[in-house]
Amino acid sequence: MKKRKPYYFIIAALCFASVILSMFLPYLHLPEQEGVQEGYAIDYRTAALESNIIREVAKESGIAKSIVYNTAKNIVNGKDRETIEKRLKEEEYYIVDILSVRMDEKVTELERMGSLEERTFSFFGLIKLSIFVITILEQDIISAYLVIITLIMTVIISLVVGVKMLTTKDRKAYRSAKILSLTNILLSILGLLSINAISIGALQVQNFYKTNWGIGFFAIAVIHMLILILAIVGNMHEKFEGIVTWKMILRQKQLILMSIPFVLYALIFYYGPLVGWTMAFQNYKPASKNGQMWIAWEKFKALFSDFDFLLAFRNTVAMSVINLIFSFVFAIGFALLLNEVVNLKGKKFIQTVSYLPHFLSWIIVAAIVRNVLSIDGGIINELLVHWGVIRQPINFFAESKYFWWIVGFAVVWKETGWNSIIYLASITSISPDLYEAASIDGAGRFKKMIHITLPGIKSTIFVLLIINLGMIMNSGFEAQYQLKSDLIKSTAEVIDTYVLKKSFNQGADWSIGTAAGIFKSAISILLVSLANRIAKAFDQERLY
Amino acid sequence: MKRSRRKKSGFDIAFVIVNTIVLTIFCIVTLYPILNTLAVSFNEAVDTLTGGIHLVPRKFTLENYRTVFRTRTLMHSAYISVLRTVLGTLLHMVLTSLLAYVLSRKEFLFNRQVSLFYVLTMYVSGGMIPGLLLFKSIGLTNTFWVYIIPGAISAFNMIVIRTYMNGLPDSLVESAQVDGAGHFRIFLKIILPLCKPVLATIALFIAVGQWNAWFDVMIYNASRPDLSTLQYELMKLLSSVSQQSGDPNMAKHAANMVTPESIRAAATIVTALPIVCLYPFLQRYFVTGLTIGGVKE
Repeated sequence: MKKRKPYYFIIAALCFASVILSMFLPYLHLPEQEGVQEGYAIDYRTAALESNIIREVAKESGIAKSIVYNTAKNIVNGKDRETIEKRLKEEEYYIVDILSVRMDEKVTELERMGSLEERTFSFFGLIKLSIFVITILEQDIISAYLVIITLIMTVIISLVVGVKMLTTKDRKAYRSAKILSLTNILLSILGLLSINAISIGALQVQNFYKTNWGIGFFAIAVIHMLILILAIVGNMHEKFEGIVTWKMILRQKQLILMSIPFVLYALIFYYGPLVGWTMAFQNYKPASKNGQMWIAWEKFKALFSDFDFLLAFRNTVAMSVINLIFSFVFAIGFALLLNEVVNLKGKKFIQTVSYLPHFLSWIIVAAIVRNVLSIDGGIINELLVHWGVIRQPINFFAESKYFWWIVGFAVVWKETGWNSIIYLASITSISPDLYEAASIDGAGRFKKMIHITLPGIKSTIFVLLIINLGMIMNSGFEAQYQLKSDLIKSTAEVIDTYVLKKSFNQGADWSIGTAAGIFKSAISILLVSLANRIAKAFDQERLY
Repeated sequence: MKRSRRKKSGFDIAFVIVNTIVLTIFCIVTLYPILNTLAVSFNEAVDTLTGGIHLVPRKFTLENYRTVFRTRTLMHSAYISVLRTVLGTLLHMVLTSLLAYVLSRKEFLFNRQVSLFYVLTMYVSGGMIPGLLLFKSIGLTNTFWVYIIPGAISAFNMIVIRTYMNGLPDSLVESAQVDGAGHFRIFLKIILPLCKPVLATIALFIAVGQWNAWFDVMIYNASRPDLSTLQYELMKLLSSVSQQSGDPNMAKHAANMVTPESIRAAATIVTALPIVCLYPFLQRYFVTGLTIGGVKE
């Protein structure tokens, strides 16, 4: 009996999970919190109170934070000036003005973020539709039921498809099952879009600023995403040839049991952090007790209007390209030259030496690079002055134009030998007959290297090139982190160091850091799958 | 053989000479900075300040090393580094190879799903802050375990090991199963011993990664100086550019005629040494192992 993979059981199970979750949705976004009015909405002024204005004013004026907070609270509650001033010392009166101006600014900003008119994106009219429905009916209930309806549809279709696909043997039924499963995918996409649209619409209509509202939607969105992925994978997998039986599952219970801890591990340590991506859609405050403020795509907008981030993006790509070209040229050249060394002991020695820097940490390599390029007594400056190339020693770490090349050559120094391993291995697999034939034809060593060895490793070069193109968003991080300085940050900052800076320096903004991380991941995935496609098109070994 | 030697042209000889020169330069460029650091670490500190130390120490001394080995924080961090390297490598090898075994069994029904589940992790990662929050919420931060548990299984290494296992004949496992051996037994007694080359390679990679790690110390354990590793201590030492007067430790060193520069050189050598001594012996493994894991022709 041939086996069949039970994708659709998993899909159906996930669908059930999401339905059950969405049942709880109304409870998820009705937190009973202090300061939350009318169930879930909150006014902008209270939101302004929670912003960083208090901290800033307290810092600037040197007045205790609690006093500033109470003053601000009184302003928000509309107390008249006398009552407010009663609690302050005379020399502190001026903060009342400062606070009210700042709060007004904040309120305008918040209103802008929440206002409908300024939104330019539309989600195919779904937002408008959902806003319409939400304003007519009670919002939380209708959104929940909208989701539930989509999900129930998905479940029914999944089950039908699953059962059909697993039990049928005749081609016609198989084909109709296939069509149904495609519909399933389509519905999943629709479900995802509607979830997104509903949440954004709700955000705009009801001024949601302080509710746990997004969590339920996000969880469902994630589950939907999984359904989508599984459905696609299930569709790609065309070898449905037999039937899975309980007997088969029982027979390999040991393997299944063994795999469960591994699945759990990946779920916690690799997929667990993905839940944290919600942060990018919030104005995340680590110590916030009342849940986080959901702000949809605002942080992404802020990210793309941040000039530092755009610089970091440029630097990442630039350094990746430089590193890519350098590492290819040097590693291939080195492998070719090393291959021509006849003396076996010498060859072995050079190889061993060439691997050495790979085993040093970037901390050590950065120290070495700094030493070598140092303005007083660095060997490079000494040699360049000695040979008369330059008159004065160059301070390589003071000018931004050198940084990319410093990193490039540091990578070359560290990794050339290591990268050449794969080319050397592929050279050994070239048939010796070719060399012999070439010798008989009178080709010398150099000619043989160019006309036999290099073409012989062409496919290896090609595949590695494609793989590395997929990795272009990862220009490395340790090198830049260890070598950069504030003087040259316009060329030294890469996305990873930008995230680090945003997250841990003063005024830490975890949301924007996470948003940058998501952006990087998205581009990476796109590039990798593209690279994979290309490799597949050229009939090469795939990445997965 | 004779024929080809006779046919060697002038151009060929020139090529061999140029090649030798290029590779010699390559070796010099690779080795010089390291040997220079070595020389500085063995040279008398005050003498180093006058400059001009290249490959050999001018005034030989062991004082720099003595100071390094006397610094309690450095020695403690070295202990932590050794511990995390040993434990981290062991755990990683056990878990990753076990997963590779499970996924190399072709009869396993969920083979493709679990594989895909892991392969996806190579491309999607939550990122720094979400990871930090997760580790914090499950109580991993500010503990030793944050060094070894989060990275204990790697999809890439799993694939490398699995590819190797797939190359082993199926009959090995089948005959053992006929004899009534369970999967754990087969894995331990039959498969593992046969995978020695690839396991040695991966173990070396992991050990190097563990030994050289500093970022996790900085992010997760910055408030626990007793869990600091050698690399991180070295980083702090290197980045404290001539803060001689402010640092009481350094002031003490100054009395011993030791300068920060020399201390740094000695600490760098101490940090690099274990791995540098180890890798030549594993070279034949990682060259073959890397070829298996890498692109196949």
